[in-house]
Amino acid sequence: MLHCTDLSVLERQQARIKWQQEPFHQQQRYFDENEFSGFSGPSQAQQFQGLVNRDMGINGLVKADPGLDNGWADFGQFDGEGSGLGPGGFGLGSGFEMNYGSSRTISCPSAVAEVTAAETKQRESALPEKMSSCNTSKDNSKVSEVQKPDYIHVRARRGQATDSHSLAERVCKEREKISERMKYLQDLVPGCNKITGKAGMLDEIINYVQSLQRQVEVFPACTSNFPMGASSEITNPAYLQFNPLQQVVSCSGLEIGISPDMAIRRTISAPIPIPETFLDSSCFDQIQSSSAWDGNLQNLYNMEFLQGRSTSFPAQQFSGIRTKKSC
Amino acid sequence: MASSSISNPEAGPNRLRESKSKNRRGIGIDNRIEDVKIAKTKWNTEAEQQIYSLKLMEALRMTRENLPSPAEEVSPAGRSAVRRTADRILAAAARGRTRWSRSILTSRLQMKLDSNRHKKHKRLKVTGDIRSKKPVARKRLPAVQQKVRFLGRLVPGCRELSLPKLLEEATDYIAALEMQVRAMTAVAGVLNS
Repeated sequence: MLHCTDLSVLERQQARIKWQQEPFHQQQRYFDENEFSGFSGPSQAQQFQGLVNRDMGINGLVKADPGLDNGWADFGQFDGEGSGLGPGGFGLGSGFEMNYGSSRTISCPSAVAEVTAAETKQRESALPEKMSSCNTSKDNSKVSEVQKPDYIHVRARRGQATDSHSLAERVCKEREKISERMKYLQDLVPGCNKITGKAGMLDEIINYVQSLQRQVEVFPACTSNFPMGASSEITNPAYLQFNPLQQVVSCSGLEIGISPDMAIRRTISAPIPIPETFLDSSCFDQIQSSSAWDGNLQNLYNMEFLQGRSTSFPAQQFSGIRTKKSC
Repeated sequence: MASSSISNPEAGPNRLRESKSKNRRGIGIDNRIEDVKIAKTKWNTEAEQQIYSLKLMEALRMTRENLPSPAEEVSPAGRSAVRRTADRILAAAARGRTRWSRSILTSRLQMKLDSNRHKKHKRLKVTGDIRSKKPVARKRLPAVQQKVRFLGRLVPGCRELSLPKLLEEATDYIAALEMQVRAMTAVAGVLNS
């Protein structure tokens, strides 16, 4: 295991090398940072993967928890090398995070939080300038944080250089990742083909997720009689397969305009059957089958009321988000 | 954190496969992109849906037995119980490979722990000096960032996550939810006919 003293010695050596290369103000900062690096040494080793946070105006930084997990695996590997800037550096890195903006969404262990609290006082003044806490040699592990003018925060992981070219390259890769994932989401969420831009896409995704979650909630209300005896029927897989097809056919025939929101979606994504209509058709099938009407009628009214209430929400949400966009 | 301890085994097998030839960062990216690609196909299979339906029936039967009275089925409490059950089965079907599934599975544990300890603590948001009497103006985040945060709150366990990871989780979550809805409507159709 790495010891506190080893870390600080190594860091000081690196600092000395670095001082010859870099301008003075950065060195000064590094020297300050060096003081605190010992605290957050071995016990609070945290590993951050390349993080990207695209901010339009704020400087809040978000930390990925899986980054922690991957980091532990890495840390095990590097243990023997004694490249000690890792834990100390990351403590510094998290200190930088705390500086940015009012949205402090970092979940750090308490010791690191203390360190960062101590550092924040020192870092306030040095905030706008470009900071890099490590030397540029590649075999030493380090963390660096660069504040780019367009507010994409990239955190370098261990063993990565901190020169501007590689950082820019990394930012591009992060952007690539994000856009690739947005593309997958576009395929997944119906009606997103026409929408370009992150804000609109995110709107659609949010609405879709909300509607799916709502459907899951409404489901129990839709089934009035619960399975108590018909277990053999239900466990028949062929039977299960058959019904969704039936419902697709029936729902495409039914034209139920519940809210203008739904109608818009239907016109946009015609080939894909909208999940809401599934539910409508299954409940209206109940009406059409007309079996045990009186008992189920009360449930139907309840369910319809629910539907009316729940489907009014997307309209509100939609308008809510729209107003937020405008301001 | 519970999530880190649980997710460690997940990181293990993935890494072992490719750790010898590629570097860490390469593994990270490749894994994630593969995961995203297969997420949709994984949740789309009929087999998954059937497995889910079967488990759903079992769990719902058990939940129904636990309900105090038949009238509670249509009450909000009964419905949320059903929903929680369904979510938990969905999370179990994900086999703990995704963040949201782990969060759902551990949330019930946390709830139990909290109720045992009767923890009542509010999260105080400290903005500026506590002693100052002036109201601190809240910084309004830009629209995109607001939406990202909102999405993070919607997907369970993904409140503070970087954007690419959040999008991955959202992809998987949406695919899983779709499968859940499909299975549920199938089951509902069977029950109602």
